[in-house]
Amino acid sequence: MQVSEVTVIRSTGREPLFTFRSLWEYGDLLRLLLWRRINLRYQHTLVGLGWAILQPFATTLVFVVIIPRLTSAPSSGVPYPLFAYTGLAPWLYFTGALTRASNCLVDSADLLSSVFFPRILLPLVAVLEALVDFAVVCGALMLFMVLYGVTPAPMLLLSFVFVLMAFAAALGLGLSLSVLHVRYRDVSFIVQFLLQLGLILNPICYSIRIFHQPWRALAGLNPMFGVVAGFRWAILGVDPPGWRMELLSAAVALALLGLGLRTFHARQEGISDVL
Amino acid sequence: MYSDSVIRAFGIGKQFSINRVDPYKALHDRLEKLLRRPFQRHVTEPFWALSNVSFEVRRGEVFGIVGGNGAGKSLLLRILSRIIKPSTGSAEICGRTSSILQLGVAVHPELTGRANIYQSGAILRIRQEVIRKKFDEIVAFAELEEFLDRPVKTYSTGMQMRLAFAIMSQLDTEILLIDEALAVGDEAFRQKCMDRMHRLLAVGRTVVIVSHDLDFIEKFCDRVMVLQRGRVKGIGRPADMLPVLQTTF
Repeated sequence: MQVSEVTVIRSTGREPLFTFRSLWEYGDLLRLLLWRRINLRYQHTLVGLGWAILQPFATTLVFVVIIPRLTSAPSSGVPYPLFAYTGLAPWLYFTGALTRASNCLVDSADLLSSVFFPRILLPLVAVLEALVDFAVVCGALMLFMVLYGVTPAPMLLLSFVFVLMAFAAALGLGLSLSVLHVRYRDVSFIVQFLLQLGLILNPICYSIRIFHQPWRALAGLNPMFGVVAGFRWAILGVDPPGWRMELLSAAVALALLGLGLRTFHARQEGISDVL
Repeated sequence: MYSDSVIRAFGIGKQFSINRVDPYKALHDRLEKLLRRPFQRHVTEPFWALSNVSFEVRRGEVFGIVGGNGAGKSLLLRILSRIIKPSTGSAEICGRTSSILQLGVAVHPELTGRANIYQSGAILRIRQEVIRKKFDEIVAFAELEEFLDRPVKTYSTGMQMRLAFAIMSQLDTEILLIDEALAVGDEAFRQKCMDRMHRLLAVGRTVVIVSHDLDFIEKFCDRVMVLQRGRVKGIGRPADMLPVLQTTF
């Protein structure tokens, strides 16, 4: 019998996060885990679809009722419900992705303590899974735009860049928080708290024009500020965010991703010691 | 050193630190500690669950690991399965390994039997189409045809073990790591597992098995390693190890 491979276990040095070979070999597992999660969510199609768009619709409804009573709801010439919904879409993607990613290791404790596989698959699956909900939300957005008779902006395709930024920020933060969560069980409360603040701190129910320069550009330090502002600009063509803010947000998102990969790499082998 | 060894372990040790002062579980506890007593150092007590374990397993043999509770048997299998990283030492494993650690844990409780078969295959990096081909064989061996689409958590322990063993023994891996799994299951199925294992051994597969059952060890293993409190007490043929065993138990 030929020997297919030699595994070396060492006490020193770190296991790489992934190699191209392992990505290829564990591709089936990634697809399987992802497919299972999606299947579970959309098994009963109507309920699954309904649930994915219930959250943005309900939140938009609340904004629609409340915000115009407080101010004159500056929505830059776009119907306010559409304005708020477009800002909410990428934010809810981030919320879903980060919540799932920060819980993913704790939720899969029994898998982690019984078999070996590249640990990074789990947060990756979490962030990818949230993209499916996001696609549904975007489908509803398109329908919304047709109903309101709003034509998409010419830079529509640029919205992918902002989705990518949200993906990087969610994966980066999720990687760091997931390994922290293994050790400290109150991480999920902290995540929920931050996400609640984020609903107001990001320009979702208001326009970025309420901030004047240089504060507007500085708000880009919060990567999701740049994502929400940029996504809305790309889809509806209102409130150009300015390249300084966007560059800052993109840089912070990439930095978060780098930090997350580093943290995960450093701590991944201690995961099963604690679980 | 044997020329035909498939597992070589050198000086494997595993240390856990037990924090006696504040075994906190929450981040806010830790922050509070930091604010109240910023200069207190962590006092941790090292605890060696395994120390300096070296052994070799030869191709085609059944290698038993025995010892009392807390001897580090299961931990050693986890290290060999790459779930836990050793603190010292190293090991070389030639060939793919599949493991059945603890009762039925190799199978995922929330998934159906069918989904478990595919997932276990994917974890062992076996292509889905290969698993599809072996699928019926696995199901037939586990005798679970009518329960295939129910979640595994509804199975009895014996059924879970049957499924785990069926998956692990049918998917082509060179080395099987088994932790106590054969203790459950009725006599008939146990016999079936034995027959299956003998066939696997005949084609050059290797089995490493942890067991409490001295009878089983004596009958079935080619060599055994006796562990006591994380240290190797002896390695040899079961008959030669019996005196050592009697002093450890």
